[in-house]
Amino acid sequence: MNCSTFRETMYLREDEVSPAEWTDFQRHRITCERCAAEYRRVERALRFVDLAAAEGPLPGEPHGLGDAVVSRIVAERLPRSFSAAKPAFQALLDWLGMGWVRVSLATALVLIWGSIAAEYSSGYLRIVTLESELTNESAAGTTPDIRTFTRSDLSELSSLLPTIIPGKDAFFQVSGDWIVINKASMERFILLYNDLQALAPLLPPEFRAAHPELWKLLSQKQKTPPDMETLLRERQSIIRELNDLLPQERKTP
Amino acid sequence: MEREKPEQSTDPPQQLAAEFVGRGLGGDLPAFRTLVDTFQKYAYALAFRILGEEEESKDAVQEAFIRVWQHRGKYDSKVRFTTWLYTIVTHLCYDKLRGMRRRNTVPFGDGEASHCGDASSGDDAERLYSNKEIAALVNRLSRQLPPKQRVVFVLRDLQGLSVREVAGILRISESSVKANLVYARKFLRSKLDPILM
Repeated sequence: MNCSTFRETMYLREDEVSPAEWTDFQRHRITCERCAAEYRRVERALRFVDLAAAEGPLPGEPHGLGDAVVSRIVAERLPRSFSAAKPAFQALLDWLGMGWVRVSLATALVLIWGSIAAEYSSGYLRIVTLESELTNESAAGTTPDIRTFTRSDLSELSSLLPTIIPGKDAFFQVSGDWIVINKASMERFILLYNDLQALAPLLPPEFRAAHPELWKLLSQKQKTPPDMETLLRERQSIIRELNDLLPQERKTP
Repeated sequence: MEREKPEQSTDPPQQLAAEFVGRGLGGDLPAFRTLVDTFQKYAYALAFRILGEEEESKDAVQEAFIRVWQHRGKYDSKVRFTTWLYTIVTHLCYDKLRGMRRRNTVPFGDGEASHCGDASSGDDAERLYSNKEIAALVNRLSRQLPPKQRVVFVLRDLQGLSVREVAGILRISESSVKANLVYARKFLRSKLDPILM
């Protein structure tokens, strides 16, 4: 190894060159005093670098990063139309708490009604469709896929929904006295609901104490997505069969 | 001169990591949250060493974890999670660094090391300055390096990754890693010489 090669190689550490190169390097160092002196300077500089590496660079831990990441993940799972309504939604919920807790609480309010529609409304089931939807779906030769609320549900929803989600039509469609949720919206709700339910263990005790019903809703074991799929299919079948049985004039409110 | 691993470990506890990587990347959000809490300081250390700014580093790390979540299906379990995470963090930081460079907002140090005094030898210099001061000086000097050299230097010399790992993360050859290291170390040596002489 000559001086020129040595002075390039001396910036590399032992484990960055081959054993043969390292042997050549050491041999030259022993025989060339000027190169050895240069190398000692490099060694000192690299020792400084190693001290810096051991010391670490941190000005402090990045506080709140976990909350920020989870909030963004939850928010990005919201359907596009829901996101469009987000500013007003956020403004309304500013008083409710922090970050994803806000999102989860507000969404849970909606989900209460969604759950009623999807799971607990058998007694209220009506054959209600929107005229426009009926027309479109009939023209397409398919059966409308809808969930329905009762008149009493409506009065509560009517007062609740506009304050929670200005863009409520993205999920619920209102026709006369009736609100209809279509299956696509319901599936998006379910996706969101699964996320929220997964987050439930992270809710602080104060939140659980202050919102026992919401906590119950989020923490109860709900149906898994495949079960929900089955449920939706069953409901669709029931609606189709009842639609066939009932007189045409009763199909629209 | 063999490279020693930095005393401050850049590796999170692997046992804990393994438990939550599987669940977190499987879509279990609370487990993913634990994953974020476990790995954030390591990702942040890397980002801060590259970028040198707290807010930019936090942004980069947050974005990195979002991408980990979004692309969790593509994670190859044969690769260490930290390698995958560091790859994402490094590329985000590298892009940011180039952007900052274009906008001339790279946080340069005050440049010269001369303010550190006039120690008579390297050993004296090590005794004269605390490790914190030395770390601050090296970090400040490294911020004057061109983006690629800086990233290579941080990954190899400050984070303690192997040349092969650095090459894998940056998707460049090992020769290129070594060439960048030589340039970076030459530069640092030239800046440190005044206080080490």
